[in-house]
Amino acid sequence: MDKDIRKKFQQEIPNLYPRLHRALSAYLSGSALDPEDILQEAFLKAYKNIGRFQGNSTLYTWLYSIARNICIDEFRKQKKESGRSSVPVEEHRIESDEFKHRDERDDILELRKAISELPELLRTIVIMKSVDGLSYPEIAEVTGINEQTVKNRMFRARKELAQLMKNYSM
Amino acid sequence: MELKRLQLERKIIDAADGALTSEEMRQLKAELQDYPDLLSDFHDIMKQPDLSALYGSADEKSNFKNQISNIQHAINQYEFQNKSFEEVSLIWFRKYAIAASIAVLAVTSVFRIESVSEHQTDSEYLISEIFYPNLESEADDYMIYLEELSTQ
Repeated sequence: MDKDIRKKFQQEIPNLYPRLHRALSAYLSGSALDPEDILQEAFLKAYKNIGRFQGNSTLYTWLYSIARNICIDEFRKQKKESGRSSVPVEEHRIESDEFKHRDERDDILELRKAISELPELLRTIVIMKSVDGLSYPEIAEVTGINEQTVKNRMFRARKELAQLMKNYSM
Repeated sequence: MELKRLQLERKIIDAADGALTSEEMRQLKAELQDYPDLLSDFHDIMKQPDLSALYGSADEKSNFKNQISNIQHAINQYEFQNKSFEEVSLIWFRKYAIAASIAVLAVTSVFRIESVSEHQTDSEYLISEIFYPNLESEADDYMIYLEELSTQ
């Protein structure tokens, strides 16, 4: 049984990786952490603890919560070392060719910066819902808070985002 | 009062997600008239751009070939470290079984060739006779010719 789950897990890695990479890149935008390092650690940690995977959630949300916990630990370590400072706009890289016009590019950069300045939980919820397309029950699984509270946190996140965008005069 | 505010906050988020019908939307706007601060937040949130395209779409699997193989390699290493001596021995045996068999065969063949050359036998000659009993040998003819010459 355990062997079957391990085999299935290994088979699923190529399918799960690109989506998790995108979500984590958004989550870590402007941070010094590398999504690839975090994901490697998360996959290995998940594999070692595969026995704890109950199958109530999807493999994706389970891995997501493991990756998020690793990031939170890293943020704590960084905070101990230097304290989290605001990140310059230039560090929010745009690699896509979708945004060719300068104004549009600047708007995207500032929006990403605004998201990166949200508190960790609010940033997680905004990215999971708006960027990654997870449902509220799935977000509740990852964050460990109930669905109603997730929506209230989402309200706070979008309210703070609106305020940050006003500050950037967007 | 606080409960009502929390309910309205959730409805605003439903509205922003496009999950409300036009009738529900009209009701929400009417209810928000009693909460001017929430009404202001509602307008700010509804004005926000779509965030779904902010980070582009997920890249193809092929773009992450190296990263995925690194993860699989790390998992294999972990698996290997956690195996018992018997399992490890079996894996090594399977992995190198063919090479080991060839090596053993080669070594034993060398000993066999050496033993054959030390104690000359005509086993090869006998085998050829068994397989080709009617085939006349030129060497035999030559030997008979030499014997006849010597007797003359």
